[in-house]
Amino acid sequence: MTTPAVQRDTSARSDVALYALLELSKALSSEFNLDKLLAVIVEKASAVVEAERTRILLYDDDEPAPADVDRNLVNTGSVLRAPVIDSHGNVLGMIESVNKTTHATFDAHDESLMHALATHVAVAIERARMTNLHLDNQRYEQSLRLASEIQMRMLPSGTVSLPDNAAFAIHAFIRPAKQIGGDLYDFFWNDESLYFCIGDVTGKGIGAALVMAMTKTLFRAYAVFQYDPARLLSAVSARLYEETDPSMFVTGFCGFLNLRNGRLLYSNAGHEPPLIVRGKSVERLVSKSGLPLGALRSFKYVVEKTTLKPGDAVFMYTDGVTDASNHAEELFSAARLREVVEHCPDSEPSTIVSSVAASVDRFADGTPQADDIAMLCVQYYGAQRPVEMAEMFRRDIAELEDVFDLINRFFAAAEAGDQVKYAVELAAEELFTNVLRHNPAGGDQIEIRLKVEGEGVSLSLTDFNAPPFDVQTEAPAVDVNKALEDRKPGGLGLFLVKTMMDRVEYHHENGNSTVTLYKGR
Amino acid sequence: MFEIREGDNNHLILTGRFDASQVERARGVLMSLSEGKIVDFALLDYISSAGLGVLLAAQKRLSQRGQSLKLINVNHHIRDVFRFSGFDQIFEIA
Repeated sequence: MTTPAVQRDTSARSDVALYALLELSKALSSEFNLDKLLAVIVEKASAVVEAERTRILLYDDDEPAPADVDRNLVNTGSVLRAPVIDSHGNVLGMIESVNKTTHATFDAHDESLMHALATHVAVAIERARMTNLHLDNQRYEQSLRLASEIQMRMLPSGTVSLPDNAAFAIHAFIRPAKQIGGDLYDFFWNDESLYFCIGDVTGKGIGAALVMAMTKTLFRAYAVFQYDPARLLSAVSARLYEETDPSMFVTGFCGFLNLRNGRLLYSNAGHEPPLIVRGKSVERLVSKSGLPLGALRSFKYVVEKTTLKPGDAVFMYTDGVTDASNHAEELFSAARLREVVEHCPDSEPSTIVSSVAASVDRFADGTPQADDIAMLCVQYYGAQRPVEMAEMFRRDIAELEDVFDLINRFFAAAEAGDQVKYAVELAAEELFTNVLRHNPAGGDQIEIRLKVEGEGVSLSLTDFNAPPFDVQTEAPAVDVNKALEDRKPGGLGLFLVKTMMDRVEYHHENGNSTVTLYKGR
Repeated sequence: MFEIREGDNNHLILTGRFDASQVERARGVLMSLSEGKIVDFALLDYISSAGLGVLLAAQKRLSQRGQSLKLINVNHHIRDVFRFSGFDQIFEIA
């Protein structure tokens, strides 16, 4: 077959084939839609091998390649079929051309072209699958991020700002090892009590996260009307047992703190007992732990009791804290945790939580976090937290309105009685007007300071850079029994102040004149 | 807020807080009285020595004409202030 005609024919055919192959390369590099790409391959293949038609058949999950699939190229002369084999040697399908348009039979040249086309198809399919996988991964990551946000939003914010007179402070921290995790905490309060819980779902990832969401919801739903922590745990446990996989369970600790007297009722379901911080002393809260939640259909947990004194703090955590490891695969450990808590400068929940978080991170020193970490810390201040308010006032009678406003705010915060408030209002006005009368030319503002003192309150008024004026000795005596015609209004104000308040102190220091009055409740 | 106004049946009605910043206003009314009044304290929340001073001056002025101010509906905080200052002896408090 070396006749010139055939040679010419072959050369003309090669141009067409070459052109078709070029088109194919272009499509391969620019077309990322697999279906469109396969359509281009089918079309160009017929041109390349001069076939009447070409088709590509691909196996899929519904119709996988048979075990004995033909891995060889087949050429019957009128049918030319090449297997499409990916880089791992899997047969993905086949490409098949039928009937040479020149009425000749497919030859060895067609066979090698067909082989090249099959390789192109395999590459295109693999690339498309990888692209899809990548996109799927991206979407998955995005969903996880969203899930993480949703999960974190299920928990109350860890940083809580409370009014000055709140009987407690609370601070929480949570950091899942992956985007979503199985640790949880919750808390809410009313005037009488503070409820809180912490929990840890076995396992990690999406399964744990779903059980976490459910556990948190169950806790909240029951805690709203169930004030007994043991019954609360039993109820949550029973529901978890009914509604989750038997292999899933949750360790948990919950408590109700009476804000009036510091009485803490708590119950434990297999969780690490919290630490109790009393000044510099750190102890583990004694706790008879029950089974983890969801372990049995019915389990009776035990209520335990302790009393927090003002200043005491309860520190709860999940084992992600103590099990945090460093490069040497050492654990952070309960001993290190206790040491960190002992060395905290104060027992404020935010101080303890952030100190522990910082220590764990320093210890891990970049070692990836293996387990979710959660911490919850509550400090009890006592029913009457020390309240102090002070403000400066101009030497102007019109300022009286603001003086009374300060007293109103103070008494709202201090929750002191009306009788005390009236006396303090009157004392503040009398002292203030006394300064306006006796030292009208003073250049500085006047400070009024209110403080809760034990069971009572104190009121101090300071006139800066003022001459001494001791209300105790300099105020004129008043005879309250004089007849009307002999009564004078002078001195009545300070007389009333001394009568209505329990104790008066006077200091003149560094040129500042300060009167302090006390009134018991 | 402090308010002083004439009511029915020779009543004078004091409302709100009678403190040192209200003295001038109260003096204007109380020192121009030509006859005794029944002063209703039902709506009065607070009084300091400044308020007592104005009431004292008014009472002195009226007593020279054989007249007086009588107080009604005095809350217990204000009643204490009158008692501590001996003003319960110079005002009839019903």
